[in-house]
Amino acid sequence: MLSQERILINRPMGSADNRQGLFKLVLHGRIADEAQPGQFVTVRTSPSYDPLLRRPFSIAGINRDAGEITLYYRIMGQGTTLLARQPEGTYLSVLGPLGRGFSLPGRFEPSGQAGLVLKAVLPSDSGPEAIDSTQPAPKELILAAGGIGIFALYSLLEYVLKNRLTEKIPTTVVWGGLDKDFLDCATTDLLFELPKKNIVFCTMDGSRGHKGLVTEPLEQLLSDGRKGRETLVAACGPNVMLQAVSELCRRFYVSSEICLEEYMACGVGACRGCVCRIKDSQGKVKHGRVCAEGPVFDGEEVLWHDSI
Amino acid sequence: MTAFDMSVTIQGLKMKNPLIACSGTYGFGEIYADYVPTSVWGGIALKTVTPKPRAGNTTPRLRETPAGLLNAIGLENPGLKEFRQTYLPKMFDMKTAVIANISGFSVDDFKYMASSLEQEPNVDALEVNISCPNIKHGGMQFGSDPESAAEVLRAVRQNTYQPIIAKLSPNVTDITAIAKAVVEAGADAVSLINTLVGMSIDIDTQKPFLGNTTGGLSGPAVRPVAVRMVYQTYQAVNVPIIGMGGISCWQDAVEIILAGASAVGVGTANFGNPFAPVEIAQGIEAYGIARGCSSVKDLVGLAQQ
Repeated sequence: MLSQERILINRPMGSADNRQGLFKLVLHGRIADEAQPGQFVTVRTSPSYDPLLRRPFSIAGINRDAGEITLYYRIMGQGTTLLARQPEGTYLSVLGPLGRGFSLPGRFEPSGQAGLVLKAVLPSDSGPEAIDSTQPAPKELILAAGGIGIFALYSLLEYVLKNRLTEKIPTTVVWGGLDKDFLDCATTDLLFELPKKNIVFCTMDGSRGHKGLVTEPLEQLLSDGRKGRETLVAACGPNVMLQAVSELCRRFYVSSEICLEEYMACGVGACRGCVCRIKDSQGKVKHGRVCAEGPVFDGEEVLWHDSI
Repeated sequence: MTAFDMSVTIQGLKMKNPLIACSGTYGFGEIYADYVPTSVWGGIALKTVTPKPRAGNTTPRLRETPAGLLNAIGLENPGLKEFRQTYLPKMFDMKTAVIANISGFSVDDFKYMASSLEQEPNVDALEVNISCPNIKHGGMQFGSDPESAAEVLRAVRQNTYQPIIAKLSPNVTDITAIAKAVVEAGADAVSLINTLVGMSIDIDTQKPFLGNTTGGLSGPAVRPVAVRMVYQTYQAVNVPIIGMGGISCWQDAVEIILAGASAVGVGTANFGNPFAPVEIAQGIEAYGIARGCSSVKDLVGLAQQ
C-alpha cells in the first residue's frame, strides 16, 4: 500500500560521543498491519523529483498493536541525508510492505503479502519456491549479520522473542562490524533479551569479541556435528559475506535464508532493475527480482558466479 | 462543473484520457494495480516483448543521477509464447487501452511479432520499439537510420491492421527524418522519446557503473530534450505524437501537449509517485477548464509558431 506515515521518532542511534551516521526511524500508520519480518518499504525522501527514486529500507521492527514500524538507516547520500532532516510529527510517503520476508519459525505463515499477490498474478514468473511455508519449524536458529545487515534481522529476532519461541528454538546471533564503536551504536535492547552466550560479536580490529569475519565463528557453530537441515541460518550483510555464509551452510547441510540488497528503482517488480541470478526448484537458471521474489531467498538458490 | 473532454483517439486506439504508462516502467500492467487502479490510465504500454525469451543484462542495471535514472535492463522478457499464454489473457479487464510493445533483431522478427499479435483481442495497439539503447543488435540500430526504421515499420504495417505506434530514439541527428520515414512506411503515430544514451563511472573502482557499460537516461533530466523533439516532430509529420521523457507532474504534461503531443507518456515518475497519473490527469483537466477549452485536443500544439 501507499501510505502517509507519521514520523514518531527520527533520531541518531548511539550516544552523543559515538555517532556512526546511523538513525532510528519509527513510523505510525497502516503499514504495520501487514508488515512481516524481512520485508521492506520504500520511502520518498523529497517531495521533488531530486532525488528521483524512493529509498528502500528493511523493516526492523513491527508493532501491530501500536501501528508502528521501525526502520534503521545509515546516511549514505542525498536521500538519506534529506530523510535525517525530516522532523518528527511530519509525514512520509511510504510504499510497502514489499517483497518476501523470512520464513517465520513456529508459525510459518506465508511471509509477504506483496509476494503472494505477485505469485497469484504471475504463476510462471513467481520465482522460486524459496520459502516452503509447510516445512517444519527449525530446531535452531542462527542469525548471521554483517554491519548494518543486522537491521533486517532485528525484525526476525523481534518476532522470535515476542512469540516466546527461543525456548523451543534456541536462537544465536553472530554479528560482525568494523569495531566496538560501530556495534555499540547499531545495537538495540532487543539483542540483550537473548542469553549472553547466544550472542557472538566479531570486529575487524578485535575491539570486541572475535577478531575477524562472521564466517569464522559461524563455521565453528555449524561444525559441532549436531546440526542439519533443521538448523536455519538467516543472514544479511554484504554480498561477499552472504555468499560465504550460504556456501558454509551448504557444506554443513544446514538451511539458510539470505536477505539481499540491490539498487532498486520501482521496488515493486515492474522495472526488473534489481535482479539477482537464481536457480529455481527445477534447476532452471533465471533472474529473480530482489524486490519481488526477494529480498529473502533460500541460500541454495542464489547463484553467485555463473552467468545466466 | 464544466464538461472537459479528456478522451483521445489515435487512429482507432481509443483512450479515456491522454495518459499512457511508458513501456518498461509498468511491467505487463498488473504490478502497480495493487497501488493504483489500471483504469486511471488512458493506456498502458506493456514491457517490450521479443520473439524469444531474454534474460537481460548483467547487474548493476540501474544508476540514479541528478533528477534522472540510467537503466540498462536489456529487454528482459518472457518471450512471445509465454507472453501470449500467461500474461495477455489476464489483460481483458484492465479497463484501459493495452498497447503491446514489440521488438526484435531482424525485420522478420518484427513481422512475426506483428502477425502473431494481430488477432489478439486484448491488444488494442502495437508500439514498435526501434529505439532500445541497451541491446547489442537490433533495437536502436533500426531506429537510428530512416531507411531501416521504415523497413521495420513497413513490415509491421503489412502484417497487422492494429494501430501502430513507432517508438523513436532521441539518439539521432535529426529525429524528424526518422519520424517522416516511419509515417511514410505506415505508422499511425509516433512516441518519443525513448531514453538518451548515458554512462556513469564509479570513481572508487574506476570502472563503468552499469553492467552494460552504458544505459538509457530517463526522468526529469531529459524532459527539455523531449519537449524540443516533440515540438520539431509536430512540424514534420501529420500523425498524433505521444510525448514522453521525464513527465512527472501536470505542468510537465501540459508543456509537452502544448509542444504538440496528443497523448503523454508517464514512466519513471511512477517509481517515485505511483499516483502520478491521477494527479496529472486532474491537473490537465483543471488547466484546460481554466483556459476555457472544452477538450484536451484544443491544447495540442498551441506553442507552435
